[in-house]
Amino acid sequence: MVVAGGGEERKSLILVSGKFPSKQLVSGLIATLIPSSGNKATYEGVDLISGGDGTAFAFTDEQTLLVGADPLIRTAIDRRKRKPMALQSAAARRGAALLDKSAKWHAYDLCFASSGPTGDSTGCVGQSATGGVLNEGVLKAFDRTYGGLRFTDALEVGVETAAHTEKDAASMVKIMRVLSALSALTKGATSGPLGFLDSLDIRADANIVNFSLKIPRAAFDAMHPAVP
Amino acid sequence: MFKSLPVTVLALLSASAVCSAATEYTLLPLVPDDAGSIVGFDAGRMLNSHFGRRILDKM
Repeated sequence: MVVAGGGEERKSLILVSGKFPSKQLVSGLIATLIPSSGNKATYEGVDLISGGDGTAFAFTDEQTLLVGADPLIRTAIDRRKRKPMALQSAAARRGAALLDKSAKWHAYDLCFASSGPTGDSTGCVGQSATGGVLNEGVLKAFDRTYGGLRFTDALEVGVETAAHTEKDAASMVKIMRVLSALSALTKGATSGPLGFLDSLDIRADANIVNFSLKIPRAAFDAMHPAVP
Repeated sequence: MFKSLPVTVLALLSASAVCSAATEYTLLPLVPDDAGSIVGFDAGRMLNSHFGRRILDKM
């Protein structure tokens, strides 16, 4: 599954590849989630179901489902018809590099790449995880973020992000190491977001910051209670 | 960013999907030119993980 988001209008497109139990069942369930859906159209030979909010979905073939902004789906359908299908867009090439077998992120269960300011997307996770210490001002000094999550007995996180300057990178490392030290000092007494930062490994090479950490299940559950 | 889209349900629906890096390559050419971010994951593996389920629930 690939989720592509961002762009000028902040729209998203979800691309799912797989074996679906029933095309009709899937279509019916999705239709219940898209307001006022049911407006069926055919675009380049593909059935397109649109909702009243500009969201739509379409099966381009038996194994590929697209859900998202209507114009993005139509563009994707256009791209699919190009022969040979190649990695034409910069975003796709970036994604391919991200998922390449030689890339270190390939070993992760979920990987991501973002070309925008960190504060816009992945930054919200960082702010939450550090109790707001990594605020928007700090995070906006970074962009071109790559990373991954691995699901084992703990949630393993690996991130590589590029700061605008070496000074910004060094500042990030200092802030995170202070948080890590605080976490280690309060080990066992801190059950909040800082409770797992003692596992943090962070380093900067010029303006590139790499960090990894492991979030135990208990700490993760404390931050993200189950949805009833 | 993804809150307006039913990512959680899609992940559930694709639980039987056989996703791999190879299948992601079939999807990547469809990614819009101006996409600012890309997230790739195996929905089946996500759903079989305690962490994955929680993350999907939050999307």
